[in-house]
Amino acid sequence: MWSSDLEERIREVLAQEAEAAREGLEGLEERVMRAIAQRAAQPSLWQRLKGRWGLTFSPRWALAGAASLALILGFALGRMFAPSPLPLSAQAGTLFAVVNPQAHSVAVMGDFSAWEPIPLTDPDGDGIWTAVLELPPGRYAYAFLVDGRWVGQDPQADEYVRSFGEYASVRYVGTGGGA
Amino acid sequence: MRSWGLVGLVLLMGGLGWAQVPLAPPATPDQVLELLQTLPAPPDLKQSLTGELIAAMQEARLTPGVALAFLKEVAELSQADGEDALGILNHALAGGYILDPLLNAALKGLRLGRPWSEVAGVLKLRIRLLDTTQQVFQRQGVLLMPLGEAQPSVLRAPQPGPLPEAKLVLETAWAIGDFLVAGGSPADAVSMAREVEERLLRLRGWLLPADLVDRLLAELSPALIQQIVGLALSPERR
Repeated sequence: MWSSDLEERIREVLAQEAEAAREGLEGLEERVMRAIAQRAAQPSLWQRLKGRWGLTFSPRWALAGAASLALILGFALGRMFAPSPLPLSAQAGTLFAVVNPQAHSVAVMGDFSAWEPIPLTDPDGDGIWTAVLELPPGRYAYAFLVDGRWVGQDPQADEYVRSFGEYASVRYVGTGGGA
Repeated sequence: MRSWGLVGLVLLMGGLGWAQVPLAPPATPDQVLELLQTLPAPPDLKQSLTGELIAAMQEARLTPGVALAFLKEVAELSQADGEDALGILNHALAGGYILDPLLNAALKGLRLGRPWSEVAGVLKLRIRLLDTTQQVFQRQGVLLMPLGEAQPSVLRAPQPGPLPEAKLVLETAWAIGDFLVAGGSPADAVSMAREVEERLLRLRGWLLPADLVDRLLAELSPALIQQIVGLALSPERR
């Protein structure tokens, strides 16, 4: 179901997230220790609570807590500002996808639609146009229309056929081992 | 900060959802028959088509949506081309074949802007291949009766949809036709036999009953394919 383009995109997003988390951890220990030293001069809320309730406080726990906080924050920021990753499990249905950031309109048409174009959408503008169609099991020929231009060879197809001088892709949908 | 988190969550959830696209609402047989009545064609042809279309849609050999799309395209043709198209449809309907792939082939050609004469040429070749595949299969004992009649000794629970034998004829003829329409040589029976075998093995056990496929594969050979193609391309069938 996944094209190498989509997989590459997922890998890029994961790499960006890992990078964002790593940046948050750089010099963390130093910063935390400096902050602890500065705050030691005046009793903090934590120290006042500790004194009042007799709680024990370990620098190791503080470091672990701060590291966890930085990780969570880095992950959240990465998620917020990086492009949304694609889901790793497709929902029920057959996914049709075209990766084309320059396209203004993309549609798929085939045996499942009496060759009437069905629009693909790219709501987040990342150039990945998709549609999921609920198709009964069968063998389906189809092609994409990208800005009105016929694109008959889908990398995700199980095979290709050629008629009227143009290729069409074919998917075996259902239990035949196809998409 | 809370609002940023909310925005992030919404974006994340949006990114996780695929666009689920519903197919167009299915057409009804009545819509097909109503459109047929509006087309300029001889009354006897329309009468024949009405009966055949009803039977084909009842037997699930023809989907109303595909039939309706085809007839809409026919309505756009000249009267002569339109009558030619309806005549081809009538012939295919009378053969007891599964019609959706044939009409979809026509729709693909018309969407590509090909002239009706070119589309008609492909359809006629496809129908000849369906005719001769059925004929050769009967001769070889793969089919026990013509498709329009019951297959008496096939011990199988009744299933909804077209007869498995009709699917077998269709897929065999279609694999041969795909090869020829793409420009393959009619003399290359070895390649065609391989195409047919691959297609049937791919469909075996889910779209086609395994026993039926095995029965055909036991008989399949380049010589058998050559018989089908030779008959389909013989001058008297053109």
